[in-house]
Amino acid sequence: MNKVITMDEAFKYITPDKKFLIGGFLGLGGPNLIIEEMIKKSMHDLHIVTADTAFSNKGIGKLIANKMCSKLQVTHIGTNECTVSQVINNEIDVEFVAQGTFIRRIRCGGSGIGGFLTKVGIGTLMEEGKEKIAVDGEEYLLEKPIRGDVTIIGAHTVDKAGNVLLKGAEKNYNIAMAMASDVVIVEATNIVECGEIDMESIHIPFIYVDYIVQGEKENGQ
Amino acid sequence: MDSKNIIAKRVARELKDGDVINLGIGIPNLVPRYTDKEVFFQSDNGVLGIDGINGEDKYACNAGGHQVELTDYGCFFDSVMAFDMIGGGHIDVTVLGALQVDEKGNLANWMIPGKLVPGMGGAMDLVCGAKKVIVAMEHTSKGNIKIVKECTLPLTAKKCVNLIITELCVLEVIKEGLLLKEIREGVTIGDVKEKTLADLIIPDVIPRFG
Repeated sequence: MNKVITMDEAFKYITPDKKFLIGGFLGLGGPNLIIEEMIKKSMHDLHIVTADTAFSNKGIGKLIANKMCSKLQVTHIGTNECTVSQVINNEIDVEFVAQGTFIRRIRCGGSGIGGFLTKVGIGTLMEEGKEKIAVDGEEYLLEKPIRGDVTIIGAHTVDKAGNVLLKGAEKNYNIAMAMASDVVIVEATNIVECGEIDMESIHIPFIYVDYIVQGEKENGQ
Repeated sequence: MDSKNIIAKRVARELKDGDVINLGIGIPNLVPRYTDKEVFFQSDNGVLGIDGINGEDKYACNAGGHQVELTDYGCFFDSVMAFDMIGGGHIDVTVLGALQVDEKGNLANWMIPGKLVPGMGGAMDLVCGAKKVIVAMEHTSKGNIKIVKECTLPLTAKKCVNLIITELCVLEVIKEGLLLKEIREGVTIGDVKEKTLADLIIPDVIPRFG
């Protein structure tokens, strides 16, 4: 089994009509080479779901700086002044989602769960348009699943079958996002033969991964 | 000592051995330098056991984007677990900043419509899930009063704050309102009142902090 494809081949699936789930937290665990390629291809009007938009000169932040995104579901943008100004100027249609709600909505989307109940957001703007459900006298908001067409994540190591090892804080949103799109592409620093990753250290089982792209290598090659 | 460090030092006194703690960015991040308790720092991007912010491993970063050092029991996990940890009541104390906080303990810290739109990040989850919520902030911001009768900015959560610690005083949110629990050496009750729009409950004896 070999799911490794070239960057060009990956762009058969990465097209502007898609809704993207993009992994990473402040750039760590993000698919940075694929994002560079999206910028080179001047893709526009993208619908992106991502936890934060990093910094204007890093990872997904550059994609915003190049004004490529028109719809954004996100939890925090304060580290990227380009996102902030585009949101204030209504150039991006933004939906802010509390971070725990964000990750759980994606988890629902990837695991056949029709939504979940949370107290987070009760009594705030987050209530707007959402159903409230009482369980044993306690009131909750119904939060619905998020799915994407294409998930793109970064990873430290992947084997050719698609088993993924995520190093340190790289795990963040990447595990849940790998479960929640029709097509899942992993950009990996290291691509190894099957069996080379310790089975106990696999964070994303291979069946979730459709394609693998070589990322920037550790020594900068 | 500047205001920010005075606040951080006072916050540190609230921590107990064994507490699991999540710190927001800014002043809260100064708290670890003032505690000698055995406490466990969590970061909502999936890190537990943080022991300093001068690390060299790019794979070990906290929610503020700092490269962190970990204790020998430190560990990493994904965001689903990080927020189940927060939502499930496994965090004892969260310390974070505020744009406004009011006498009911309502908190606003994620946006000023049309002006400042950072987003809430993990704040809504933290203030709903943590057992104790401490707001650590300078008492006013560029002359603007932040402790008010009722928040006018979009809320992060209702009735979630337990304690407000500023460079002037410590306020506890109780059922009847804001209790002036402590006051800093050299500060008068009048100083606090002048910079506070909420009504204060003032006991006969008010301890001082340095």
